[in-house]
This record gives sequence, structure tokens and C-alpha cells, in this order.
Amino acid sequence: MSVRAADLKALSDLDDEALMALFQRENSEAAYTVLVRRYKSAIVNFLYRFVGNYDDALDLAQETFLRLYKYKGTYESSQRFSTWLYTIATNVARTFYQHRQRHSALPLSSLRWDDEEEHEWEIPDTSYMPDTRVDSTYIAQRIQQALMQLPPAFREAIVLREIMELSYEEIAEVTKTELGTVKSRINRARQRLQHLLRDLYEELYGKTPEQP
Amino acid sequence: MTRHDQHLRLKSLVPSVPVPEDFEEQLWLRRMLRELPSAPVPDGFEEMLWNRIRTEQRRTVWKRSLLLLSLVLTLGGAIGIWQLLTPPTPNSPPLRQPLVIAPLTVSPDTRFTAKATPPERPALQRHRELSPIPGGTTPMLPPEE
Repeated sequence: MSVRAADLKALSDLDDEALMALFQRENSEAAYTVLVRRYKSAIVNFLYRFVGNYDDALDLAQETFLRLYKYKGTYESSQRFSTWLYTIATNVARTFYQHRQRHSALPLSSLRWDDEEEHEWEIPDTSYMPDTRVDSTYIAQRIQQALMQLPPAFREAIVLREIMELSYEEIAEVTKTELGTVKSRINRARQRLQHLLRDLYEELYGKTPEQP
Repeated sequence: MTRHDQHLRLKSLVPSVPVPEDFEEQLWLRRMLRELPSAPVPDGFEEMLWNRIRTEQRRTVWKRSLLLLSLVLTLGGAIGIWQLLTPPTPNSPPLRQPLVIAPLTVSPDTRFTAKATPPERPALQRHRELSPIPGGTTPMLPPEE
């Protein structure tokens, strides 16, 4: 890599949008490197929580940043950079997920992404194995396991909301979904997770009163 | 009635907002999700990324060159085939044929007796006659002194 440390330091005070503009205008590799350094951890984390495999997450994160480099011309300055980057990462993850599903022995009905009713019948991802390189504790492993049992559209929404801390509006923009659908997916994902992790909660804090 | 009593009376009139029984469980779940450990990024991540970018750039250059080459070859081939299949067409007016003038032949017997006839003058090159035209105008006499 031919980016000088002095260039990186000079650019470190600029905000994301200014760096992106510089990258677009002058093909500044220093600006690109600063953006990669700012977001690599968040993108790897998002992808790991979504696909559930650390090596795949690293590969997909690289693919995300590669697309950022290749398609920098498609970024519009009116957009928030982070939203645009998460959109790329989401598309990369969706493509990966659908490709993996296509090559597994799951029924066709489970390939449907957008129809929420279909997801009610979706077979959970049983291929998930806890990755101790990331989730070293039992609780973290259990939570990730529960996440992997959610339909992908629900998992995508809850990870963006609760782990990446994006707003509902941002999630709607990233996933190209209606705001109402986003809220509904997050709500249902929470309920499902709560149900899947009830025994863990009871293990830790004792039995909760029965739900009506 | 003291102010405190009034406050209590008003408070009793406003119904309290119910809190779901699983409120704490929901809160715990959201807290746990936020506290999940971040996936670490290995040291060589950026180096690997730059390697991929360089490979991709080389591949793009190679693809473009190949595309350009194939376009040139296709175009050359198409032009060649077109030239082979199309009959030659004159693209300029034909050259004027040279004038063939019949040779002047005189038979040996009449070589010294035959009157040589001068070639006919072309109409445009005919000289004007200077003699007065018969029956034409008469010249005017000079004035008498």
C-alpha cells in the first residue's frame, strides 16, 4: 500500500462525506483508507452477526470495501455515507445468504426473502456453530445461536437496530423497506429472541411470570 | 387542604401506565444484544483488501484490452468479408476514350493526280470575309467641299 501516514493524519479530521467526496474527485487512496479504518470493525461485526461465521464475515467485509472502491461513482453526496456503506454490506450479505441457501438442501419456500408470512415457515439455519474467536462466553454464543434461528429479514433488521444502533429510518433506507415493515420486523424479531432465550434468562434471573 | 394533599388527590385521579410483566426481560435482551462482543478485525485485513483491489484492477485492464482486441479483430474481419462479398464499383467517372482518327490513305495510282483536299475547317475557326456582301449596303460617299 502506497498511502503515507502523513496523508492519513491530515485527513483524519474530515467527516465521512468529505472523505468520500475527496475519494470520488481525486481518487484519493488516503481518503479511502481512512474510511476503511473507520468502518472496518462495524462492517465485520454486522456481517458476523448476520451470517454467523467469522471467516465468511471477513471475506464479505472485504467484498463490501472492494465494492466501495469500485462503485464510488454511484455514491451521491446527499446520502449519508454510513447508510450507503451499510446498504452495500447488506446487499453483499443477502447475495451470500441466498447463494448459500440455493446450494443447501432447504425447500424453495425458505428462499423467499421479502414475504414475511413465508418466513414464518422458514427452516432455521442449523449450520451455525459458535465461533469462539468472537463469542467466547456462553451467553454470547447462545444469543448468536438465537439470532441465527431468526428468518434473515428479521435478523437483518434486529442486528441493524440493536447491535449497529441504526435508526428505524436508516434501516428502512438500507434495506429498501417501508418504515412500518421495519418496525414490525424488529418487534417480531425481539419477541422471537425473547422466546428463544427465555430459558437462559430464567437460568440467570429465575422464572418469569407466565405470559398471558 | 394542604398542597401535598392536593397533589396526592390529583395523582390518584390519573391512572398509572401499565408496565408489561416481561419488561425487565425485554430490557435484558436489548442490553445483551448491545453488549455482544465486537468481532475482531485481523491485522492483515487492509493489506488483503489492497491485494484484492490491485488484482481487480489488473483484471479490469486485462478484460478491457481483451475486449478492445476482440472488437478490432471483429471489425477487421467484418470489413474483410464485406470487401470480399461486394463487387467492385467505380467510384470515379470513367476516363474519356482517346479519339481515333482514320488515317489518310491515297491509292498509289492517284498519288500525283488527285487533288488534295484541305481538311475542312472547323465551323468556329472560319475567318470572316472582308469583301463586300453582294447586294449589301453601299458605302457612303465622302462629303463634297
